[in-house]
Amino acid sequence: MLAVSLALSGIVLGSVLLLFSLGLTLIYGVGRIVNFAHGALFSIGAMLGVWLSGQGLPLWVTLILTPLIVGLLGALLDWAVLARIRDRPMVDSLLLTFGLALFITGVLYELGGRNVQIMPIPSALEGAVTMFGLTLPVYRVFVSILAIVLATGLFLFLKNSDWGLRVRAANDDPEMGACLGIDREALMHSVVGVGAALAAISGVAAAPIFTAYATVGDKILILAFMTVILGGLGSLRGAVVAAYVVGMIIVFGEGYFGGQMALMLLFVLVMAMLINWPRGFFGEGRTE
Amino acid sequence: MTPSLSYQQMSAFYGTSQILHGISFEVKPGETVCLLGLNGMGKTTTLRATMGLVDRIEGEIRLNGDALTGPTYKRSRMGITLVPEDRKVFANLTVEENLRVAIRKPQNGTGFTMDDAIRIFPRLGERLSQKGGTLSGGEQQMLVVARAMLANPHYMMLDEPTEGLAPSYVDAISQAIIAAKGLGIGIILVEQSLPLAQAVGDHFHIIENGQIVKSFTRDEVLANPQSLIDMLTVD
Repeated sequence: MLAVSLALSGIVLGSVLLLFSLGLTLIYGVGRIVNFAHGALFSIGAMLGVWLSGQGLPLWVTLILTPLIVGLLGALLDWAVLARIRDRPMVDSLLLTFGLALFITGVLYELGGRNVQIMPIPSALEGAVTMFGLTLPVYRVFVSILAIVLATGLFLFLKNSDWGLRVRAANDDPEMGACLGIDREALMHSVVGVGAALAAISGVAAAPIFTAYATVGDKILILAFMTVILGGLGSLRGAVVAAYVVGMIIVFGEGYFGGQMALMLLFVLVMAMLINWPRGFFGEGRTE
Repeated sequence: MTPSLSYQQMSAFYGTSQILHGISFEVKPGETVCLLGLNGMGKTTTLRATMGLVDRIEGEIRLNGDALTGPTYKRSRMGITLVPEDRKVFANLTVEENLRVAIRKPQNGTGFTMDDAIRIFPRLGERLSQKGGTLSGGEQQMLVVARAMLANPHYMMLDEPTEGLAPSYVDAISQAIIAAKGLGIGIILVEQSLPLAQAVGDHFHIIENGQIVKSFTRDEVLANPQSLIDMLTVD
């Protein structure tokens, strides 16, 4: 029974990681920016979600408003800050986004993020449901389904829309994209916007489980970097598989060996991947 | 103002190293200008400078009389495109998507369409749903030439499009270049293969150490084919 319950937790964590990492990997793919501020966007999402819920808004409204607001913030951030260092050496974007992360976290601290805030589960999603002879908490099932639906939606949009075609082309080769008339700057604003929105919705959806505070996104960010490395930098389907692999390793590791052991296990796997298969599970990631 | 893409005393730099030292030439619609010379002499840099992909230039590139500046995508939208030497197929896009992402309608007429691309390169038609990265080198070259033509550019630059290709592919590429000339596209062709250059070229410029050291017209080359060969032979 422990294994089953852990497996569900693994799927929940994997789904949250998936939404979060897809944005991270797209931002890297199109803009060659490793966004250390992505975790802070998750934290904003979680705290904004708690605040909006506290104003009496129903969960579904919060789930729409939060990513919308943070998505706009992300696009603004790209236009105002990240665009200034486009195509500079990687270390510039590392330092800049790291600074942004510290800045946002500082602001969140001042806005009450020192304390852990609880987001209540709406009554409709409380309790447990029995599926396949297993008793599962409704909200965790809801979060997993939400993440899978959103990820599928993103994939379909990437596959079938003009925006998606341009994003995937620029993801493969930004310079050639520009030679064919793709305005990478405008595209990047929207990509960072979408990435920020995904980070925010994963933050708010996970808030009833992970709670909300100024640095709640930090652990997710570290796990997401593992995810992106395992899946291959810039590889979207790699990120999908890797998100659940990381989720399962963490949850089962914590369940059977304790939290530190789980992280160590993951680090060993990531190091082995980096050394032997730096292009990730599908061999289509980038190496710089 | 007659339409043209012209270079006036253009020098180009990567960081502090100067690659081009004041080159001047021009291309008119429907004309093919061949840039010839040994490797590392600045031919590729000339093409990259045109797309805005070098760090800095001095002198000017003019499109229809106006200075050509601004980011790469804007230059592309003004009707200039590049087929780079390393092809740069979008590896994770299908062949069809590789072509579709480039499509730009001309101001008048239908221009070069997907159907035209498949007629010139039937092999691409058979591979439309295949990922670009899985094509052979020759097929990738056909793909990137077709992709550039679908943008319906006024000027198209090709960087060694037949390098390392089997003869049947070379034929297909030269068919495409001839078709592009027919559409009134001005072409800058960097090429090592003299037969192809001689077949399609109207003007020939020999580049050495970042400078144009000699120029020939088509008539001069036809009258004395040896003149080009002499210029390109390492002695």
